[in-house]
Amino acid sequence: MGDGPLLKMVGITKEFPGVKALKGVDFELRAGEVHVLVGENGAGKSTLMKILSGVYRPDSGRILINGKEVQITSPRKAQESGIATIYQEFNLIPYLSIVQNIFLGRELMTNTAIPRMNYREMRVKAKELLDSLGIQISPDTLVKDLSMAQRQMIEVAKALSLEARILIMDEPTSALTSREIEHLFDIVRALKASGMGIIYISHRLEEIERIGDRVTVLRDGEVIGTKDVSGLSTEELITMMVGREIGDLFPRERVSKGEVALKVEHLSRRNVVKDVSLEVHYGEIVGLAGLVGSGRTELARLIFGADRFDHGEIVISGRRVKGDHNPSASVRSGLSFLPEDRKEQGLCLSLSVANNVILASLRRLFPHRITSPRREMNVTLDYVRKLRIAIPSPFRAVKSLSGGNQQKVVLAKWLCTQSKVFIFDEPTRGIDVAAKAEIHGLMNELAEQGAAILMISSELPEILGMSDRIYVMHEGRIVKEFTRDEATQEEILRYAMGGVGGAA
Amino acid sequence: MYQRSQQIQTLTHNEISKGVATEVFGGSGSRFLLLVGLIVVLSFIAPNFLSLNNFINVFRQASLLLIMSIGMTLVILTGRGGIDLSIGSVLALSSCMAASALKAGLPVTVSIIIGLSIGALCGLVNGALVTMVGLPAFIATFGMMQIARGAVLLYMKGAIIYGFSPAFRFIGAGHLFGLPMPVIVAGVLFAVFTFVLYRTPFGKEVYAIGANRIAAELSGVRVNRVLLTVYTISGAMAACAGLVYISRLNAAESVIGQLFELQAIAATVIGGTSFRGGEGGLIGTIAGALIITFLNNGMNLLGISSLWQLFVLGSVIVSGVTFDMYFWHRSR
Amino acid sequence: MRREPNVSRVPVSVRRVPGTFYILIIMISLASITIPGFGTVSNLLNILLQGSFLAIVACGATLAIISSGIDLSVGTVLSLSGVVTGLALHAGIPIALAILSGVLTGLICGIITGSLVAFVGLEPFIATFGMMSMAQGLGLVLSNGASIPGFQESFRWFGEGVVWKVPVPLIIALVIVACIWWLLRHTRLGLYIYAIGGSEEVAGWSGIEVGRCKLALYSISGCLAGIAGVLLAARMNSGHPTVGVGWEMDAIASVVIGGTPLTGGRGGVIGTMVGVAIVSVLRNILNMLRLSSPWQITLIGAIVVIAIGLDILLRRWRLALEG
Ligand SMILES: Nc1ncnc2c1ncn2[C@@H]1O[C@H](COP(=O)(O)OP(=O)(O)OP(=O)(O)O)[C@@H](O)[C@H]1O
Ligand SMILES: [Mg+2]
Repeated sequence: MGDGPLLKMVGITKEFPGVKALKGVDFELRAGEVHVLVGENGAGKSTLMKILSGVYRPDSGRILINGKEVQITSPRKAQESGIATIYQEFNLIPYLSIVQNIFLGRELMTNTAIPRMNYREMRVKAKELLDSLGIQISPDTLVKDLSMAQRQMIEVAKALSLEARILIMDEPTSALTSREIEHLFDIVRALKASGMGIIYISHRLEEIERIGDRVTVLRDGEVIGTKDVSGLSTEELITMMVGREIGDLFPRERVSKGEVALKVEHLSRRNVVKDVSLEVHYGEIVGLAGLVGSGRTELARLIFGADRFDHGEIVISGRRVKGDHNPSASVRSGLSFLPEDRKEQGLCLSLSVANNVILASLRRLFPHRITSPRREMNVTLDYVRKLRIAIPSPFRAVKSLSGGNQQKVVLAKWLCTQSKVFIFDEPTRGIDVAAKAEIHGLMNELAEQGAAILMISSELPEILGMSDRIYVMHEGRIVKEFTRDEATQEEILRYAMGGVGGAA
Repeated sequence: MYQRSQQIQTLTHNEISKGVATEVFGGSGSRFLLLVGLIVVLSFIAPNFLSLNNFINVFRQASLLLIMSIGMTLVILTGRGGIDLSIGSVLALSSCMAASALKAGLPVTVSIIIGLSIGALCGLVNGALVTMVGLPAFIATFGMMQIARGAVLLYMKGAIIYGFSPAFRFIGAGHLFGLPMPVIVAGVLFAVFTFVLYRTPFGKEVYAIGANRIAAELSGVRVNRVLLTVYTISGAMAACAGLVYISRLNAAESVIGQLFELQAIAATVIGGTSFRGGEGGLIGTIAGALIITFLNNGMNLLGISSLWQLFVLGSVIVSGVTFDMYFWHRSR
Repeated sequence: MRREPNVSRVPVSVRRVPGTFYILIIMISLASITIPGFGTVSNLLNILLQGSFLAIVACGATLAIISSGIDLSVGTVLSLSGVVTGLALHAGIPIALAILSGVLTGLICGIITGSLVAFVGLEPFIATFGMMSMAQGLGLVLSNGASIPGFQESFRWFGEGVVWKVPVPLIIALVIVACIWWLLRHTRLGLYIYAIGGSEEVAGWSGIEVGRCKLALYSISGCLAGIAGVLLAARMNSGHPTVGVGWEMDAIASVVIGGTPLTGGRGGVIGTMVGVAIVSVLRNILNMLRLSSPWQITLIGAIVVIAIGLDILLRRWRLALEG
């Protein structure tokens, strides 16, 4: 591609009240390349992309496409300039169907005298798109009925349907498991070959080598540097990102495990969870692996009491769960559940960081039923420091935080309960490498102090690195239990795909 | 040593107070400026506006509205279409029952307790319909509005109960420390519920439910219990306003309180509490209640004909809030 | 070409018949068995006629509520446009122009509330509450607080006339309902109204011009209230400044009974029509029973709560059985 870059952003600055999110950022994208953007949580990656997609206006700076300056004043303008975006936070409307969501804002109309929406043609096109992405769902399904991973793929389909020249992908893989990721990467490679420029944001550094051509590192709103991916070591990259060396990603020393903390026997619910039995001991971290849709999240919800089960038995800390099983009873009996969808289920977005952090521990913190702002702030700041949450003040509304920092707030909420039994559903989704190492350290600390942890994760390295034992789920059943030493990435995947005897 | 520029370490006492203040005032601080603006304008154009008597008079009228709006604010804060349409009728029912208890010779305190319990009970039924049956709040409280109104009409059969004992008249017409009793009642209730909303776990739960009901539930908040409490409070507040009202009028009849719900909703919303839930709060509601009452008072003083009054009320509210949005919230 | 059975051509959210439809059927059958004179053609036509005005107004309320807004001004805008039409007729303006002036009054009111919501960013409750007071006030001022009675025959035809035995207001209402149905189901604006109700932020990110859509929907709502006002004036042979008091509540209640939640994003006009029918049938039954007004008030509340409560409980029960 000899003739100039496809996209050039020059001297972009953006300030939010109390936060300088971008301080004069230069960025460049060539046609036919995958340009990876990395940086710590709150570094300004999403903000830079939202400026490009017309959600925010920059305070200063210029944007050039094919050498011509453009004014991107609205999302619509961005689309017209050939920019498609997959946002970090979901961008779909729950009560509309997949077709309606994919074509929202660009519906096809009929050529009749009175034009109306041409659902027939849109459906055909949507079906093609979904097929090409390997998704077997009817395009008329309402988005609210989809899982996180399915929604993520619909986002991809929506962006692809724009047939843009520039594609922005803000953490597209954070909700996906390896099979979908493979599929996505195939698509990215095909798009790249067709001459599209792709900006790719991710905290999974191993992905960078796999599909990236160049990488730009952002720190505290400034560009630290742009490098070619080939010949760049992970350590080098991490140092650029965080400005220091970080500890071992999966630090591990294990104490001996204690009594049974959580016992599940023959648990079933309709067709999603079938006859599941498992055990978690105090002082133990147990991984729960499986593909998207294998029933991992549903199992966690049943244990927590968010949904009702049809058959089976749950024993938490020696107490059998009875008919009145519900989240508040669970929380009170010392069980914590970190849900996978932070926006819908984890956070009160319009409330302050402090109010979110203490929400699940009100009873513990204020036994006399009178709150104290000082206590709230001290507790909150404790976790803000521990988890390195980047905020100017704990009074700040959670919705103004970056995605990764929001995830940390959810984590803080559950750590604050000082429970003895934890279920974490994708605890490090969207969290940067440095913070991830710290969170893993915290989880180990918890286990050492005797807590029992059941961890669902789609990142196999995380499962392998953190767990004492690993259960693998496939189509609602537990098909295999590994000890730490037996498990390998290949073996887990083989069982998760139903390759071994799990086809029943 | 690398230090994240945005990492905070500690907060001083001052910063905490400031943060709490912004949280409590929320986005409604500017509505007080609106109120001040209104008062300034009226003091120039309306004769006899700037007098202690008139202000006390306005506060007395506003206190009734404020008492009802306290419950309404809590209900609207819980979001997802949370609303209480029944307060006007509940006010009529509970105060008429209390009045007839008084007439039957029951002691004042007992009669007051009867009135308040009936209000609370109506609220409890609202809450039960919303939480246990799962009715939309609009339907449940619309039903209660009709049923309570019908019940009081049937019970009173068009009669008027009047002439209460001085002891009962004290709560509506008496004075304490030179202030009218309604103002004191409203002030105390307001202080209590502001404390409840901002300094108790219950208050935090109300906000959390409004901001994201699912997240609140998954955090162990007993959503149904909180909602039941909130609707019960709203019913009790309506009853309380009713008792003050009939005590001041020295009469009770079945048609009182009509359209009061709309006024309370208006005061709440003008005060900055949003139907989205979890946004706004009680402080703004004072501003809302006072804005409405001062407006009515000013128009009376100016001798604006009753035909024009509604028009002026509507246009001042709309242009005032527009002005407010334009100058304070433009950066959104 | 064979059509896949599972694949519908329309958004699911618009298609469903609300559960309250069965309540309507049960109500009608019970009433026609037990109340003599209820099931006659003339009474049923009468219910339809009475319901036509509410139906028109409720269409506008439906749009506002689907977008997760609300329109409190429909009742008083209805009164205002009746008054304006009446004044125009008395001033000797030709009928067509008088009607136009009434409808335009509604439209202008709608444009004002729409701009306040869309471009100033007022909460719909405040904007429409303000418009509610302003329209009421203006109606009172223009009419001097009294009704404006007595119009010529040709104007009254719009309220009283029949075409093949079908009352004119009913025909107009049906046409309007069909248009709104079409709008919600087949046009961009309709889809965008659902999208805005689902998530305003996401709608904006998808390139939808949220402000313009809101302006459009409140204008439509105002315009419909104007039409209903003109028809009601023709029907009653007078323009009355307070005739619409409380209509906004009936309209919103119809929408909510019809299954559109106040939080918006789903629901539709068919449901609203079921709601309108339930409200109108209920009023008619209570009238025919010659109950005193307190009993009527009580029963309306009780029946609405019980009917919708039962619907919800039955659905929950069925879900539990299936699982
Ligand atoms: N709407 C907003 N209001 C106020 N501050 C904001 C807003 N959006 C972002 N910020 C702040 O801007 C900074 C950059 O945020 P941004 O979302 O760009 O980070 P990011 O690099 O995408 O992080 P992550 O990896 O966690 O997604 C953060 O400090 C964030 O708190
Ligand atoms: Mg981000």
